[in-house]
Amino acid sequence: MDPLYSRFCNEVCGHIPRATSRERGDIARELTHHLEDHARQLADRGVEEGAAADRAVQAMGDPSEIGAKWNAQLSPFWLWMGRVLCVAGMCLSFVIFVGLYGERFEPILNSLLARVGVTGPLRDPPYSYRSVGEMELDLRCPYGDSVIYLYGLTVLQNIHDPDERALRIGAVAYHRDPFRDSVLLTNITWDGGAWLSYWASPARGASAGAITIPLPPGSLPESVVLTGSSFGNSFRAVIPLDWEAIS
Amino acid sequence: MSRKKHVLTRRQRALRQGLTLAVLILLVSLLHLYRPLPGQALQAEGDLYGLAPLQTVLTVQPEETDGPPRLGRLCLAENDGALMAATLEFRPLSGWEVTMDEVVDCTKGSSPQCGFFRPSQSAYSYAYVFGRVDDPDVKEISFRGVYRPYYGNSYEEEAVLTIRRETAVGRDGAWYFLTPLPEVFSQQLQLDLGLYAVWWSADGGEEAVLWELNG
Amino acid sequence: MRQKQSLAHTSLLVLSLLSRQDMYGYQMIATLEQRLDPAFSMKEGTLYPILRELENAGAVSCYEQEVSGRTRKYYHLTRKGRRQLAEEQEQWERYEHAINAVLHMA
Repeated sequence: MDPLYSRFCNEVCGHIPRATSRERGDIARELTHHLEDHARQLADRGVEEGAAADRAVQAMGDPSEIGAKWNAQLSPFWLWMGRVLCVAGMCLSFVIFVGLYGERFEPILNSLLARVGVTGPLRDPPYSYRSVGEMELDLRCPYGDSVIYLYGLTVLQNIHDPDERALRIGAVAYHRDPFRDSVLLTNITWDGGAWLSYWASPARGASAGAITIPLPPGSLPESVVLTGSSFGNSFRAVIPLDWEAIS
Repeated sequence: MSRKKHVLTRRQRALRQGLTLAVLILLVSLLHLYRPLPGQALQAEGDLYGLAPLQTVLTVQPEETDGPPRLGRLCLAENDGALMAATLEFRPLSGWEVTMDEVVDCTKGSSPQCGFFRPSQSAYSYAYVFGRVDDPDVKEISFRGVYRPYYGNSYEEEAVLTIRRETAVGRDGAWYFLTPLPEVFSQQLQLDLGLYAVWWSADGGEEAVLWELNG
Repeated sequence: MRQKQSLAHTSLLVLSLLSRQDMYGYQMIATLEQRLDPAFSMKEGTLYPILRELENAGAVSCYEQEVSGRTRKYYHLTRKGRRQLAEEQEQWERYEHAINAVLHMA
């Protein structure tokens, strides 16, 4: 850049205190292009190079006047508003992708996995019991805005008392919307006409549990009915039991 | 000729950044990654109970017995089947969160529906009663609590709180309240000296147990 | 010899130039030099604050484009700018008519 142009641009920019350094660079570039174009035109008319540059600078006018008028057009309000919004956006992005991974992404993952039965309680029998038969289940029951997915049935036998048996049913609950948490299985009352116990893990996103139903000695019921109701929502699942297949 | 690169003014740049931020907030809000509004926290809590969408009926600032002021608010929300009292706090990293709540099942029993609520485990907060009355003939509800002021003795005292329809919040023909119990109740809970039970009755009628210690 | 155009008139001239085609700064100055009476001149540097003002008002938008190995900053008249041009042109014509009515009084 011609030192004459550079001096002129610096003088103009010196009177634009509101400009950022990037804006000053843009201003200097635009003014320099203007000066070069004017000088080239003068040179085409036969003016000597140095004189052309000088005349181009003179034609621009008073740099302090140009700078002051330019400065008046730069709004500090919008500059700082932009900076605040940019910082707020960066903070929110950090919060989402770094700070919240465990809090929110994991529940969404749980909810998605629950739909295909990957998330669920262990099928290992509880202490003092062993598994003596299994049956596949694939029942999905609406429960308010959630879905209860019953995905497997195991027949348990007490190690110390072979006549004592129970049914253990694997269940997960997930919300219809994968970005929301399911109803907690712990809040559901199951009433099959017999005493039930369940174990549930209230993981965020999807709630997993196992329902254990003691069977009366020698009893081979044709089906098991599970019901639940809460706050006006209710569900009912009838699970037919094929004892030949289970054995 | 090469592509044109639009040059933005400061105002245009700021507005574009504002729009980006708004879209980001909308996105995280829709994906439930962040809850910029308290109603979203209420609904997320409702999901855990299996509740249909809740509507906020009233919001109050929590009463403190003493100690440092706490952020947040107490909220009473409802749908046809449930009434929920909740403590909402804003956490910068996750937005609004429900930190404590109590839900009354309104599908069982008849009006009025009442509940007992402890907004926090802080020693400085009051205990609350909340409820909804659909019956237009009910004019007032009373709460009576019995406690032992000094640990280990058998001396009992009682305190009474009466809530009248005129002082409650009305909406669509029903009236609602979310009211702190007398300070002495909260102190007993705080000191764990023996607030045994809270009974309630409507219009001086038969009392029912609202809350029992360890019950 | 008048040394300086008033701001209002200069913005009218700039809007009028841009209504025909997009231009860069020196291109506008060169075109004005060709069209204007030599009795009138303006300090070339003052064009840019005027362009900034028009940009802030939304009358003009700006883009960069590489032409012959050089990045130039072009200015484009927006729809709002066209409306502003029409209004200022109408004001100017009314003003001119009013002055002429007095000057050519019989």
